[in-house]
Amino acid sequence: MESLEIRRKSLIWISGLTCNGNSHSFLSSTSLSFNTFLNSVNILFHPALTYDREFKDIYEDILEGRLKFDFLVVEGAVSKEKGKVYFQGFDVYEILENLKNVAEYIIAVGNCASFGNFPALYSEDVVGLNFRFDQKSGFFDVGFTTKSGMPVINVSGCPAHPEWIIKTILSLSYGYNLKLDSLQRPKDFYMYLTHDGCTRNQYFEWKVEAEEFGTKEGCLFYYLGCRGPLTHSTCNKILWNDKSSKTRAGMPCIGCTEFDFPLRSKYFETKLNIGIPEEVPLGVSKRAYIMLSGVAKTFTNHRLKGKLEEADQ
Amino acid sequence: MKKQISNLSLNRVEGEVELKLQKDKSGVIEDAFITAHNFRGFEYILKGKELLDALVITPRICGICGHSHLTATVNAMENLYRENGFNIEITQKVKMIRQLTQCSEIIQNHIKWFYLFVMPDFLKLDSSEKYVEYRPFTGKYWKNALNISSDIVKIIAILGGQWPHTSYSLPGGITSDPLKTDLVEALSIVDSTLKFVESNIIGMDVESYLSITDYREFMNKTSGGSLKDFIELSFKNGMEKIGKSYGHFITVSNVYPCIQEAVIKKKRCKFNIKKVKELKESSSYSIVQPVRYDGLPMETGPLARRLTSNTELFVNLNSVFSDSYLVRVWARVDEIVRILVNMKDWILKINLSEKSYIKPKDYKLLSGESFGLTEAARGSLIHKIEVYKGKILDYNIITPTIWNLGPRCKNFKGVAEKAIIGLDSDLKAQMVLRSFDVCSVCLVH
Amino acid sequence: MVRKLLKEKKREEIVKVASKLFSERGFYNTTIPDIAQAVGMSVGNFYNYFESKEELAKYIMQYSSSILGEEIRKISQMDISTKEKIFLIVRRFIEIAQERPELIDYFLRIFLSNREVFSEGCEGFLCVGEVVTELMLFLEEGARKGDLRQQDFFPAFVTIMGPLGGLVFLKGEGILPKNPIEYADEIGENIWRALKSDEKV
Repeated sequence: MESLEIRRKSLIWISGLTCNGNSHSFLSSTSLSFNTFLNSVNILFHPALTYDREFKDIYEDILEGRLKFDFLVVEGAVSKEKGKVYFQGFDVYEILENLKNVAEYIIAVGNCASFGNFPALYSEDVVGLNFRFDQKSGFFDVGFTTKSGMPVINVSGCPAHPEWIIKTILSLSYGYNLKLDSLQRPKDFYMYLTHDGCTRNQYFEWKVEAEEFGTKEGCLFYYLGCRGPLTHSTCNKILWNDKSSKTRAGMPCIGCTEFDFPLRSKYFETKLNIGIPEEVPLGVSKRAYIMLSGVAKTFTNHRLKGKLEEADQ
Repeated sequence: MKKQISNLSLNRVEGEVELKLQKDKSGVIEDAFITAHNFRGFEYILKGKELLDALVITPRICGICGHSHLTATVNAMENLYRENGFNIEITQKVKMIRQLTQCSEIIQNHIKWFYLFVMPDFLKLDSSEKYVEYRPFTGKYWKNALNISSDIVKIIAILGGQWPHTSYSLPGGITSDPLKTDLVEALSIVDSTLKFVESNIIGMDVESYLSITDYREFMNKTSGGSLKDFIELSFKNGMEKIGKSYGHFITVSNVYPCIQEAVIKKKRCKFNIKKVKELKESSSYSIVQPVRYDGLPMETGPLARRLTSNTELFVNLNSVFSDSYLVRVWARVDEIVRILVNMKDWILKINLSEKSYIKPKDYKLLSGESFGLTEAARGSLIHKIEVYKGKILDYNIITPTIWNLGPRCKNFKGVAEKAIIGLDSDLKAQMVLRSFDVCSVCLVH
Repeated sequence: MVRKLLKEKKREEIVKVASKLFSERGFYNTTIPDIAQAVGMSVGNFYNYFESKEELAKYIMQYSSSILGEEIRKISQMDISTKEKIFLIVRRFIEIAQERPELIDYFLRIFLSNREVFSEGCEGFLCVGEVVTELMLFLEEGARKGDLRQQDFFPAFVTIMGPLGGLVFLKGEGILPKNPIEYADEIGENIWRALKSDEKV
């Protein structure tokens, strides 16, 4: 009989080719979230946090069967070749091979671990855990699952939002079954679009376009490159640093949760063909989008005509 | 006893770094080699890209100082406009906001580094209950430090959308157009961080701290706090005597009024970008090329900034304890105070009626070379771009960590390498290395 | 079902007759009794189809736009080159102008001249949305494939519509020596040359 006692789950965080941005994103979460996390999850090793035990000792304990753990969090891209990427003096290739059947869950945190991201542009052997961009040619074989039966769970984003990381791990540790999308990302976060909740939504609806940066007014989609309606994230639902989001601060969404983030270019302008956007919001045909925006453009929403501060409606 | 070699992989640093120590028979370190792994190839990735793509790519070199990379990129681009004979106008409002957000990132860094990376080392030297609040995960100081470091970056989120990895600054200005109430929120974050610094770190009000000119005066005036704990622990463990390097310092740009650019060799002189050289020499143990100023190794970072800015307290500390572990760490903690106290002024100076962005000419008209300089958390950061008709031909990045942790050349050992030689313990070697605030992701990038 | 189809057919008939009357006599000089009489229906019955003369006027525009839009859409979806598509669009436009001259006349003489009639509910592109949308899609695809030169939408739009409007006008004035369709390829070539990207021959 298995014990019914709910054990505090344990976690090991390793990194590959990374800027550590996901670690710092994680550390920038709210104190409420972070404390809940620390109370629920025992961090056996994190390269920036733990001090009492070296990774080599923990690693040895695991390999010798003396230590079990639940979550293997991987930050950063990895290599399909041995001897390329190191963590605490060990080849990440070997760490992954040795721990892949020990961990209950493997979580790829950030776009590098999920899809390879920018580091994969430099070298063919650099990959994410399951994907290389949109190809299922990552480090693990297609169909790989961990002890829990789940595939690698991708918490994509450059970086991933702290709440996506924390809530994914907490949900799993509470025993919730997380539904994943085709890129193995939790639907709870990635079924939304960055557009959802953007403070500039009215401008999108009435096709009032921002033509230059530096204003509170105007939608950034038509001219300034915003990927909000094409990017899966909750950036405007669960705000960054509890305060804001890129689009709220007038910066176009650059689509950093998607596999093609490093493959695109000209992040600050929308690709137009004869004045028509090449890509339109997800889920609608270009015909529908053009018709609808033509109609919206015909009417004037007087509230949105000038400076918002001056609007008296 | 035989000669020994220790290979240490460091944790509580940014990234993956290995320290190889060569010791004599008595265990004294004769030589030290710093090796960083995990090359990502950013300079190669940038080649051939559209110029403005760098605004998105370079911040991703580093998760803790990405804003500084953004600033260096923007500075290089704006300088390129000037080199091409185009006027590029940046409003005072934009200058203040950019400086404010970048300095928020620096404070975040320093607080995290001190409490998460530096203080836990002392727990290994002194396990007494007195320091229990510095313990990772459970200690009050440790937890407060994380809270405060995530509070201060909220200023970046309010003005630039998010931290880490915003690209809200771009040639011609910034993307945001803040509200007055946004500034009020930023002000209250600065205020509460100042309170934290006064009560948790320096143990006195900021004005009193800024009037202090030597360490005895500090010890007499402070009512207690982490800086006092640190200084006591340092003296107890002889950290005021170790960790000394060449005593050459470099600061490449100004942050008015708290950071002044200058170079200190034998004496203080003006910084000249032409004297910065990345040597072509490659060493057997490092993939990084050494960088020298006028042929000399240079330390960069908060200690350098205090000395090039002629801050009396540090001129005095340096004359007594020279560039030791104690002084280097103190300088980084000190910088939190000196920057924070100015941030309030900067916010109050922002005139919101000025423009956030003045559209410059099409970047496709730009060709040629330019530099972008800035002061990052760890010191001087230099980006050099070569562009042809708006496409990047070459992108070269000299990070602070290359100055401090880069390898030896045929004439000189690296700055941190030299600081480690002569020590007799692995732990202290690691501590000295951490005093430079190691960032191997920036080192190899 | 049959009833619905019959009603549709009647509406088409009204459109055909009314557009002709409007073009010949002008919008204000044509009354609902005139139209009802020409169609052979009672005035009362007319109101079963259209609420007012203004509603009819707008409907005629939407109707013409959907016919032309549908034709452009069909051509857009064909598996032929962008150049061939331009030639075909020109040809179909001229053919429609010949098959349904009243619709083109209506556009030129009523829609463009009596803007006040169309000021509410038909402003901007509202009544001609289909033609504009289909041309946008066609131009976007052509530019995306690299066949057409990048530019703003409106210059490209008038480059296509301008020559066609001009041709119909000349025909209407009776000063075109040849049958309009005989000019189709030359106009097609002109439009193609004006719009094509520099690399295309």
